[in-house]
Amino acid sequence: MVDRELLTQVVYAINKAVGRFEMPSPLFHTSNVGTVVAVGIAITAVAGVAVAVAVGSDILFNDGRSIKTHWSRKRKIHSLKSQEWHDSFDSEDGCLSNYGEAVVNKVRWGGIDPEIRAEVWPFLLGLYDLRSTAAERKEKKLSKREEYENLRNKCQSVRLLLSDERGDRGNLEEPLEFEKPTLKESQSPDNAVLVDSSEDAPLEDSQEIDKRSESCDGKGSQDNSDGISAVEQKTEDVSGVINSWQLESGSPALENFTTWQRIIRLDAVRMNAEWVPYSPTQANVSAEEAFKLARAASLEDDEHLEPCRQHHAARLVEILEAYSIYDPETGYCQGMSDLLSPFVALMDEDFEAFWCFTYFMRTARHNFRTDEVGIRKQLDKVSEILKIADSPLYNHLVKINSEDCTFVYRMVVVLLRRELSFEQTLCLWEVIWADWAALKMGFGVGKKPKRSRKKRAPPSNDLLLFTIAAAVHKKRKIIFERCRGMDDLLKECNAMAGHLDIWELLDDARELIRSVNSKTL
Amino acid sequence: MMRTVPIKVVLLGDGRVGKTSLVLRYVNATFSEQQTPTIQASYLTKRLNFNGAMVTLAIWDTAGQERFHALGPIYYRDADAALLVYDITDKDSFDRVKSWVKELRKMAPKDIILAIAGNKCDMNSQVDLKDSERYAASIGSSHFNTSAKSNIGIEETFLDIARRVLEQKKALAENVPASTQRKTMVIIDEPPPPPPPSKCCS
Repeated sequence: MVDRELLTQVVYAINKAVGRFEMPSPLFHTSNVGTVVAVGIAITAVAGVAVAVAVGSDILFNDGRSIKTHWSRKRKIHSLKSQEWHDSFDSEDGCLSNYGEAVVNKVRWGGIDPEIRAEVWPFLLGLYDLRSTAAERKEKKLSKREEYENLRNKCQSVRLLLSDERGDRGNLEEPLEFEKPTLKESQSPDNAVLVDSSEDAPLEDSQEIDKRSESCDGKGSQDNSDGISAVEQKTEDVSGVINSWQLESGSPALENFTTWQRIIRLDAVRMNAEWVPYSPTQANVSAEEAFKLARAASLEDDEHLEPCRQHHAARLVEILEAYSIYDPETGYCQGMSDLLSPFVALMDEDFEAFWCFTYFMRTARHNFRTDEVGIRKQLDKVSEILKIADSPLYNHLVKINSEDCTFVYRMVVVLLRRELSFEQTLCLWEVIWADWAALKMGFGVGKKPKRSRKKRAPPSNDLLLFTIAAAVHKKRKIIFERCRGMDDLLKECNAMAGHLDIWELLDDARELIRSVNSKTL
Repeated sequence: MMRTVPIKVVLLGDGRVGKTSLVLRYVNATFSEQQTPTIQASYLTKRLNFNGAMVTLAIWDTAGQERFHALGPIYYRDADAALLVYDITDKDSFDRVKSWVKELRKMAPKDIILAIAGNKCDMNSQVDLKDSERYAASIGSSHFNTSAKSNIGIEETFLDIARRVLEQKKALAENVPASTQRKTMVIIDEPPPPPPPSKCCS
């Protein structure tokens, strides 16, 4: 005999499943497959064989237990583990086997075990070349530490100069010069090399990837990577950062640096403390040490903060200030503290956090341009992805004058940091960087996917944008039913915070990449 | 069936003057000393019963940094009211209010209602209160001293905005044919959530 309540649940599950079939979903074929499975389970339950039914995203057992799962695409996540990572290095020269192909691919699909994140990130971001030997990395570490110290010295000089500006200026032996920020980075030669090579690429498609793969294969092994040389070039120029513009009272540069200094401090002390459990050494910093650092960073006013937050804030200030000197065109913009905070939390050394952040900012800096060209380009890409992949949704956005996708602005600017938990953000970011590294090295690019991996999408420079498009797509039903303008859309996007599953979302994003690729071929 | 008047309010002002804190105090009755900086904007709503009229305040809380300034028009272009917030301990933030007013005069709807809030009034002021009140009067704006931390003046500020917008809408409805009105009434047929306890119903 079939329990009446169970039967009701089964009918509900079937209705829900059928409902999903009716909903136009050109992208997520797998969700339909999952639905079939759900119906299967439901029907089996009716027959009295199975003891569970699928309702929504839970498996309900008839004894009341439930297991959280998804309708479909549930896969086990295998992160890169410490043993595997350390075994990947050659015992003699310290090179990663196959230039880290296995490692990068592992991260692309499973992220990194928290224990070794701080070790792996510099490789993914390009601070350490995936082809480097242990000796080369040691050398690089030394030089980068020194460069960072030089930058910090520059910050101190500028700070002193500014305090003199405010007080007695007569103490200055010679005026410090400062690079004039320009709006058009295309006019600035050293910034031109910083521009991500994908900047002008339209949507990620196979042809584009093939082209990129060729270029990677072509110059990959000789060139010590365009990214690194670009940033190194930029660093060498740092001594010249301060070279063409007189730092005078009332000049725009002075105003800018003063403004940045002020906002950096305001923002640093109000970062949330989500990072604390991930950083035991910093969480247990002594009050004395925290205060010393805070005082050095001119944060005396914020003594009400707990020592660990005070310490974190002081490190943020020092690194962000150094960055604003390093990249005066970007300077500091709200949101950048969100991007830096995880590096500071995970890395005990400031110079390492600074350089990883700087490499990361090679792409992210475009989003902070005052003329909004960078962010607009990104939003246009999200719009284009939706247009190609889900035209009914796109048409609805057109109808409510929101096809410019301004409603995902925040998601793009801080890479979903505000929508995801700390841990999930780190997973997303490292997967994105692994995609960048794979593209740069030509891993998984231009090859026909193996039969068993036919669902695995190629790496993309725009994985973030596909992930955001996937998050929007996930809300399509609500968007159709409830959203009548930007207000409603923004509200829905804000409401995503805390409700996203990054691995599910990444699977959806990969699905989108495949879908867009197949439609634009 | 309940007739609800939607009122769109946009908060503008320099970074860390307390825009988000004002809104969160008003809508959620919460306050955090370390409120994270707003990126882009957030959107919150509050329903209130204003002398028998149901009002939904749609509050847009925007990012403060000058860099996000260009996003402003998206939020104020069809706003009924703008609440300009400054920090009474920071004179520069009051200058920023003045620059927002200039921009709104040029770019925003002509009949936008303005209100100015001098926030952090639980602290020592660096701005001459008389000056700011005089300035507010000169631009036809109201001025309130607020503190999100101590919950001072916030309810009054939003109620003043709601009252003036409603009066303006009423005046418009009396003088202008309905079809040419900028805003129209929205009929909501879902039962409204229980209105939060509010002093505004008196």
